[in-house]
Amino acid sequence: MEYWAHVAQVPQDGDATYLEGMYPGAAFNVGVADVALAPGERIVAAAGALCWRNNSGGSGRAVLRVGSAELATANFTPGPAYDTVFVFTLKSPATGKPWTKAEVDAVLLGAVVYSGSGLRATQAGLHVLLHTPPVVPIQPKERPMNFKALEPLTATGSDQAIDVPRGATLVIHPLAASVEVRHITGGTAKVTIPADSMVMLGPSYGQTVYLRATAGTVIELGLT
Amino acid sequence: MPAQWFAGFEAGDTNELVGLAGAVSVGAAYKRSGNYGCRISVPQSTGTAYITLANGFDANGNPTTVSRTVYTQGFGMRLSTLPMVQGVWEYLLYVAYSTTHRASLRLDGNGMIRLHVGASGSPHIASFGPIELGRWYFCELAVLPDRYIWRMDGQVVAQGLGGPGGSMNVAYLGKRFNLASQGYTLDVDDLYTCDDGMFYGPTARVARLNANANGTAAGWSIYPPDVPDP
Repeated sequence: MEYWAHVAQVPQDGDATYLEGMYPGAAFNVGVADVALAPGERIVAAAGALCWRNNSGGSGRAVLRVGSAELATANFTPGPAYDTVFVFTLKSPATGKPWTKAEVDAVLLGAVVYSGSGLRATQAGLHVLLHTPPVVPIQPKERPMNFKALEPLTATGSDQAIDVPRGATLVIHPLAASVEVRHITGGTAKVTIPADSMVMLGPSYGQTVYLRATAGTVIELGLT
Repeated sequence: MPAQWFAGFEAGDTNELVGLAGAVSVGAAYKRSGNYGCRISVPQSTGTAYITLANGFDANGNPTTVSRTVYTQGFGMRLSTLPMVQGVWEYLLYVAYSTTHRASLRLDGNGMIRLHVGASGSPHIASFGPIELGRWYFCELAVLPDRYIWRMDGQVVAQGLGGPGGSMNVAYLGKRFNLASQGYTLDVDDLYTCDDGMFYGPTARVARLNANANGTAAGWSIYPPDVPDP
């Protein structure tokens, strides 16, 4: 049985197979499987997971290494029952930057005895949080200009029909007097646009609107 | 810093959690990704079944709860049964400061999930559903001092101004409070918590990389010991 295989069982197998630290300064570490990333997938965080217990009165720390760089828990005395502790980090200890696949693939996990003896490790592995950022398509900054100025309408004092094509917005700018807008010719319902103000109505579903103003009032119109 | 903790149950156990109670189990049948997921079977009695999420680690590497003004969590969820009493709800997600309600997602017997932020008696802000049984969703909720964002499968369900009323230090999935004769079954997987409004979206997953090679140190003794060939 390979050395690393003593801490490779999932779920952990308790005292069936384990590694035991018998003296202060004793250290072990093992490599982990390479991470399989989907296209575009990123490594958000990593957590070295060590399942261990105390069979005597020893203390120690769990260790995550990349090359010569190391992160570890505090030295402490584990309890008598197997429990998993984690060395959590958002960034590679080797670079202080977000994890790369190569750095995750190079991780070594293990533990060091600080004092006493009898620390038993039955499982070691690396947990990684992965996600694939959404791909945001580049939006063009410009869109085709679709403004069309219409010939100014000179009011007659009665309803005058304006056809607004489907999808278009009607721009109305009465110059000297207010203009009433109706959806039915001769109807009582109206929207009054004050003189010398500009209003946009739409987008249209292909509607005809009716404009009425004091005879002689010039109404500037446009479509966009 | 964004992510503060995550869990995928890929060691085949619940050691990534701060705590649990009641009928909580880890198994391959409950997975969203990887090899394992977690099932919370909230009982029909007044008993409890829930898991306690972490949002940090202590110096010894134990998942723990930390008081923060921002609490964001994401989790894959699959419901296989709904609360059994129509018109009565259960907590799906409960975010609190100790036992004080800060925000929650509540599950109705009709399959609707409702968001509440602030006092526990506050009216719901938004709803989603009805949930399709047996389908995985990815739920994300960010609760900030002055606003909230709730997403399902990466799509915003609700966002707006409104605070939880204080800092938060704990979140539960499946928590219940004295609600009798209901119960529901919830599978969860690929959980994370953050201390800012960061969302990782429905592509988030947790993987485990098992030991598969010797390293650079072998100072610990092996058990069982190697038996030399005869």
